[in-house]
Amino acid sequence: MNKILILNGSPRRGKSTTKIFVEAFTRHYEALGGQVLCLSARDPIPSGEEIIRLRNALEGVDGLGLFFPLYVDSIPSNLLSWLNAVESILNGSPGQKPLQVFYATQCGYPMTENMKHAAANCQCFTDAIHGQWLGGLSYGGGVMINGRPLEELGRKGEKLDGVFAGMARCVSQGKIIPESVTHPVFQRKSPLLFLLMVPLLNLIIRQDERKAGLDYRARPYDSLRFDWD
Amino acid sequence: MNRQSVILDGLSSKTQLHPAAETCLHILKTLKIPHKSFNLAADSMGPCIDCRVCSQKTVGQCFRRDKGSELTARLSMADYLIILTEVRYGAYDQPVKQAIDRFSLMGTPYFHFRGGQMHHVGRYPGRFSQLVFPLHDRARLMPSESGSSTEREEVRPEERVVFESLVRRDAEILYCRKCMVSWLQVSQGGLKKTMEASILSLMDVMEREAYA
Repeated sequence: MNKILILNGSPRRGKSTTKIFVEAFTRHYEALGGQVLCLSARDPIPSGEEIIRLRNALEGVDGLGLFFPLYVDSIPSNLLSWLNAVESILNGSPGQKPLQVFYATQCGYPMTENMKHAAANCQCFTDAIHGQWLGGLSYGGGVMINGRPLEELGRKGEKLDGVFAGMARCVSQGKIIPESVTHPVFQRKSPLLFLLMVPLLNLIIRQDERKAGLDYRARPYDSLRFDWD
Repeated sequence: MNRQSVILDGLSSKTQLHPAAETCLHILKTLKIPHKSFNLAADSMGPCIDCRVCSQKTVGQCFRRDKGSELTARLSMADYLIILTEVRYGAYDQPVKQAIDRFSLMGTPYFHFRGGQMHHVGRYPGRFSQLVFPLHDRARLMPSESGSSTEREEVRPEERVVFESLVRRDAEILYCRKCMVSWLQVSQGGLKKTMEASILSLMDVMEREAYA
């Protein structure tokens, strides 16, 4: 596989962990001689101009990478509409060769179980466009990265960089990304560890809340009254 | 329990109600259930952009003052959330997901440990039950220049499994009291019977629990 298109599904402008992931993957993929096109799928509905850009980008690509943050435990809505656009374009171009699809998602929680639906949705999308599924990375703990470059993250950054190097190798060879590649950052830790993390994280949040002089548990809608049909 | 129900209608167009939405509204009116329907094609709702304003500045409220804010406000006091949607890639269709993404403010920044997993502490936990009506089939997507397609295709069995699991997961993180999925086959009729049976069955369970 040589030329791939990456859809960056982060709705954020500026600092973004998804963007850091895209950059890391691109660096490794290009080092292997591949070509990466990247489109931001930030807009909730792609405009006419963006559809043209997407159609042009899809012409002649061998693969499609879906990079996104987890929103309410699945794909963010903006990326869904871009996936619809990809499917529409491909349904209108029956001659297009099947795309190889892979993904990288991340969420704030340190656990990865809650990302299984997003991965399954990407796989269902691959089936819908008659593509070939390569799998990918579900990274728990994206909030700890918070848009910082991998070089600033020490050992964690090195591990992640290694994972993207491995992913780039697999994608360039059109191979399924095995668990051994993503394993170094796969957070299959004991629930006991998370149980201990909860009070610690809550303490940090409580301090932040006091500093801001706010009540983070506020229920602003409790005082509202609505008429119902 | 006053049965207040919020309907997320992801099926109707701007100008025309989908038969499932029409049937749902008719049932609720007949049963005298207080409700509010949001037609996602007509009601302007901006997307969540994870700006964290709702968790760290205007706590519990989105900075957007649009129908999405009314939706979350009504949901915080509702007993039922009824979702009408097409299914794509084993997920909600885009307009429905855009509305659901706005529900992230229903959780506080705090964490707790529940069912072996970390979750955000709910802001309005255990208030509503969720009833999802996905369509058995969906419009085949075609390029915009070829006009709107009337062709329909069935939702594949594997997508149905993923979707039902996703709905259960959403119900868990949104602290729903109960959750039910009822697939609709519009073309084969029997819409009213299916929807009425599902609505009444869920309400019956909830009311029994409330009186127990």
